[in-house]
Amino acid sequence: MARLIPLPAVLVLLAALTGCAGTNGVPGSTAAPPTTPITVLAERTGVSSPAAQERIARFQTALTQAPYILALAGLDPAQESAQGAALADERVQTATRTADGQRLRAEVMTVAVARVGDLPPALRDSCAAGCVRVIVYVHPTATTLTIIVAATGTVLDMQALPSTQPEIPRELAELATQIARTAPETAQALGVTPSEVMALMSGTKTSVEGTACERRRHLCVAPVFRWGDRALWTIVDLTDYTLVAASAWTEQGQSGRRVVSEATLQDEALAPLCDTPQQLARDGWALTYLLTSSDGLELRDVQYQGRLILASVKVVDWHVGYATTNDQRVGFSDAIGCPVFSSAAVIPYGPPHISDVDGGGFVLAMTFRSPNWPQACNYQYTLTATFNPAGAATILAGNEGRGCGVDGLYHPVLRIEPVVGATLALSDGATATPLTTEGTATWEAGATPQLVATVADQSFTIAPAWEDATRAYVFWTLAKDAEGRGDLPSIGTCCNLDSRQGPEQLIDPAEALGRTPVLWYVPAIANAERARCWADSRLVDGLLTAEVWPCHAGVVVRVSP
Amino acid sequence: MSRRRVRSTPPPRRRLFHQPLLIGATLGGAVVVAGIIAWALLSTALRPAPTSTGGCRGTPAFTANAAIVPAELGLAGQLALATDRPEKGLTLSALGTTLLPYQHPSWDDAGFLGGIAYDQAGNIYAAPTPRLSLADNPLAGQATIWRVASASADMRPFVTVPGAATARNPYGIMSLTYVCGLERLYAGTVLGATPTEERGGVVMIDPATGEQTATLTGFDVLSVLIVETGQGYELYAGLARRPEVIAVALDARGQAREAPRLLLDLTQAGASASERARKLQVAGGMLLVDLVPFNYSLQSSASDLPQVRRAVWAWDTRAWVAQQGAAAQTGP
Repeated sequence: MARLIPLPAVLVLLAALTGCAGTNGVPGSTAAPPTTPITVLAERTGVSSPAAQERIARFQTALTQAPYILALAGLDPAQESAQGAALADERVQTATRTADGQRLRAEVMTVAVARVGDLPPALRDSCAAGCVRVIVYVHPTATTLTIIVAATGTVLDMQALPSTQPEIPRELAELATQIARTAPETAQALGVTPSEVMALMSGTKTSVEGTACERRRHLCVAPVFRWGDRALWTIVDLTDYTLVAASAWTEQGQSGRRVVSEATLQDEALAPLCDTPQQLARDGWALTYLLTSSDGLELRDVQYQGRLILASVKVVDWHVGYATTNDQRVGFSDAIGCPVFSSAAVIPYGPPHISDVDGGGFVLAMTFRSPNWPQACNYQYTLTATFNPAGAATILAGNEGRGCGVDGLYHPVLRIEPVVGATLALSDGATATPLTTEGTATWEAGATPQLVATVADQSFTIAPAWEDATRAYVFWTLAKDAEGRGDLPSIGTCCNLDSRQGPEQLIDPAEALGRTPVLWYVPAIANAERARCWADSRLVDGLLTAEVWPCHAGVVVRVSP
Repeated sequence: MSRRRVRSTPPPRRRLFHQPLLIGATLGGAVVVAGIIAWALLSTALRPAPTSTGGCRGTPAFTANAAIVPAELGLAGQLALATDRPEKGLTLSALGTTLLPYQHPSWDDAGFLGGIAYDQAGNIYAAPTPRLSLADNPLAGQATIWRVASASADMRPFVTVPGAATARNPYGIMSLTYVCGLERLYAGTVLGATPTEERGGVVMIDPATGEQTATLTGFDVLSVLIVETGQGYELYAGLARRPEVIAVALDARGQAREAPRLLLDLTQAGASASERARKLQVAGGMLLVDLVPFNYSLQSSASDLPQVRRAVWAWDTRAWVAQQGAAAQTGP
């Protein structure tokens, strides 16, 4: 079933000084702040500002009637007339709708007398009597339209600059500042209460500077608040009217000039997760989690009621292959992991999300995305771990499209290492057969075998969570440092249709398992257009919104009472 | 009777310089002298834009050898070598045609490639750069420059520069450029850099001997270009950690003779905080900069077409001035 994208939860992370070095003595260069910045990524939970809600309502109205563009109000008659002529121009109308006629959210940013420097040389004579320059921003395409209108009302020229942000009017700058002041994340970044924020802000110097939201491709600005040598940089999304991030730090004057954007603040907030395992304990469970270089979010030292169950769980690789016309298969072997300094091709843009489960328990989830998702040949992967207070943990590897086409087959490679000292047995529900040497099996969807891991006098089971998988290739091998205990950049190729998914290389020749076994679980999930492992985008109120048909598969780890 | 001496009017003296001519000549001379002085002053105060040092690059001999490159491709018109096509490795294409590109069997031995450079003999130098995965670009190969022989088209390892790629930083040699007047190859690298320390730099290589000399250290370098300023060579380096280009004056041996200075703040040309100079070119009085996002993850290799920004040379301030807005895409 399709769903619109859920919004990530907020997580305050102390951003250590990673990813940046000093100026190396180059005067005028930018620098990492010498003190630890506090960077908070915001939760996109909707628009709270009344002024923003009013703007959204105006957009919705504008999209229902010609010229379908939100116009500026309060202009003098000449400017009003020029604005009308510009918005009615067929070139402008074409630039503000899709090929099939759907309207894109667009708004007028500027209506002003065109100065000589604003005019192309070819128009300077035509504008000797005065021309008006109208700037329109088209949100879904991030395109700035510059329209020159003569005093006679004739539209002389229109230039479209893609991926270009316009200067924003004062009204929007004030709205951005207000959103930044009142966002709870701003108080978190400053380490004060919201009321103290307002008191602080009254004594601050405020400016609105340019920035980029290069990942969500929205119009963004950076309200900056300074007092003494302290600075608070915020990024406000003026397409969504939400805060993107807030980062507080101590400036060092010109030699410490800092530039920020959505991408840099997201990377800065997540970088500590690549170096410092995070602890999580609740509902009878305890674990640590860490972002690896290329093995996604690794769950380590998973305990239930004080008993160590799993040493490590992670998704080492995502294989995705497609059929071609000549019976060859092509595809990718995707590594997911840290957003910076990593071998990951698909990275997270937000922190892990921890949420409650109705009836008890919690979910730990993380999303990894290609830069142009949900466009073709871009991917979004998820790891979802659900912990039940009754002693079951479900770990699912998920995909949310888009991929390079239909007839795609996904194989996530999960590595599950039980606690050291465990022995393994393969059970069909009635009989458990000890596993003493490395081996492999293929399970078809719906089958109910399970692996039983026993440590001392306690045991737990690992069984398939079939979800969308059609089969699973299962391997049990001896745990070795070079075989996945550390980061494993790549294992196997993208496109095999059988059990040759990478772990089979580790059991040739088969060794004795001993008491340090590792389980490799590789489900096969086929995509289906607009049904499974798929994503698309559609216009909602003139803005592109992702629509997702997710798919999942994985394992259930169940602790015996 | 006395004779009176009759004074005759002496014949007009013949002057070598007609007075108006003399005045004109004096004035003209003054103008000439003033012009010479002005030129001398201007030539020190005003300096023409730096120029490229890659003009000597030779056409690889193998492109004309029908035993290597199919004749139909070799005769199809303008040929272009590329490393950014879907094919792994180096390819040779005929621009403006639908002919399939040519690829020598050895051209994918190094995996996916990134920066390339040419010398005057038509030898090609290429650096491996991973594209979305390490499957074809193992970490161990990231510090090696490969050379394609002009005559045979055979591509083989040439030199290995100091440093090593790691799982945390899978990148190595990011750019190559050949300097005609010095007959040297320069490589910009990020080898061995960590989240807290820049360990890359620029290495100068003698193509004849393979001898290497560190030219710039302590900076992670994404792009490198050597220009001729009229007063010698300068090295331009696009930094990997910041949207900036720095410059270093070089001596006659191609080595740094001054400390680096900031050449261009790319944010003044509209670069975002996450964009970096991936390629630098000088042409027609302009410095063209290809911008791409870069954060040392393999997702950086999945960037869209680069955004091109330009800076124009200001004769009076002898500096590049960044221009807002995108420029046309740079050529191959």
